[in-house]
Amino acid sequence: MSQVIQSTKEDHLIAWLAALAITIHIAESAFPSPLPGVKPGLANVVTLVTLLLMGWRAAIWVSLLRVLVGSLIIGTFLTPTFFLSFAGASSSLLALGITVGFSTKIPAFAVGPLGYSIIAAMAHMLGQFYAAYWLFIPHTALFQLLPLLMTAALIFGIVSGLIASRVTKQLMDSPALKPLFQQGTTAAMASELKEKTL
Amino acid sequence: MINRLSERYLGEKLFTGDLVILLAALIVLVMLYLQYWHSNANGEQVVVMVSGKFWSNLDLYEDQVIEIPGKLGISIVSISNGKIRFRSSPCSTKQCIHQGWLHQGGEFAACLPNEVSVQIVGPDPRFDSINF
Repeated sequence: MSQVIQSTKEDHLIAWLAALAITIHIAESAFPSPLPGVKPGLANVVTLVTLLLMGWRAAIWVSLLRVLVGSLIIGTFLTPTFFLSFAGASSSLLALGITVGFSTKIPAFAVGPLGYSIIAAMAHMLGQFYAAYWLFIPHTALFQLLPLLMTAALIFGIVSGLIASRVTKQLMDSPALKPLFQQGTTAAMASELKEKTL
Repeated sequence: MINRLSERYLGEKLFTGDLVILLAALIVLVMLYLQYWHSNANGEQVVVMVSGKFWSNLDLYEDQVIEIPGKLGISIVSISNGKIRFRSSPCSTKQCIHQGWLHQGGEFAACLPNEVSVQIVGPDPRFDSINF
């Protein structure tokens, strides 16, 4: 007796978003970076949009799928790069989860795309740095790099945040996609973004 | 329900939480720079070695000019403001002079042809060891 797994619309959406993130990730890997470990991280825009529109769990799926499949395609699976990337993504997701908790519990300090992006970027860099420190270069001189790395993380985090903010707004505005996002949106965020058009 | 603090030029909304996070991030950044870039491990004494043997201990807090006799001739080091440098040396490449001022614990300069070296001993050396 065979059973067919029914995939839901949410599954399709997550797969689609993950594919988008993977594509951006691979395209970005072609660009050289000024400092090792410093990347614009544009694929994180997709993670943020997923977080804002579908919630934290969906964002976890998209982010981890991106790290896994991206590394498989580029060819860095199970290399040090992969572990650093995974550590960064995990820290980022954890920090985002905590921030979502704060944002919903304390409405007065609600967080928008920019805030989430900054948290995600800096947590990502911090997680990646400590993974590098514990696993590969346990030398205190490495900490000389930390201020520089975190500065870059903040700057790129702000850039990603602005992009994510714009993308989310346009997605919520578009009539074709509105019904798709009706279930499973982070409700407060969704309603506030919709208000903008009035 | 959510405070609108400003309308960004791109048309996005800035939430209160965003500003809090941005402020916190800037504070963290400043603290990181202070912690890891502003080292206060200044040295107090300099050990001068000639031909691999101890020659003298100099006090970094006492401005002075010392002539050190080495294999090729006399290297002159000068100490001022808690810093030390090679001022002149009989070597051909003058690498020792190009090292400039040393002031942190563990810092090291040497005139290899003349077999003269100075190393700062301090409370918290920046490097455990240097290999050539």
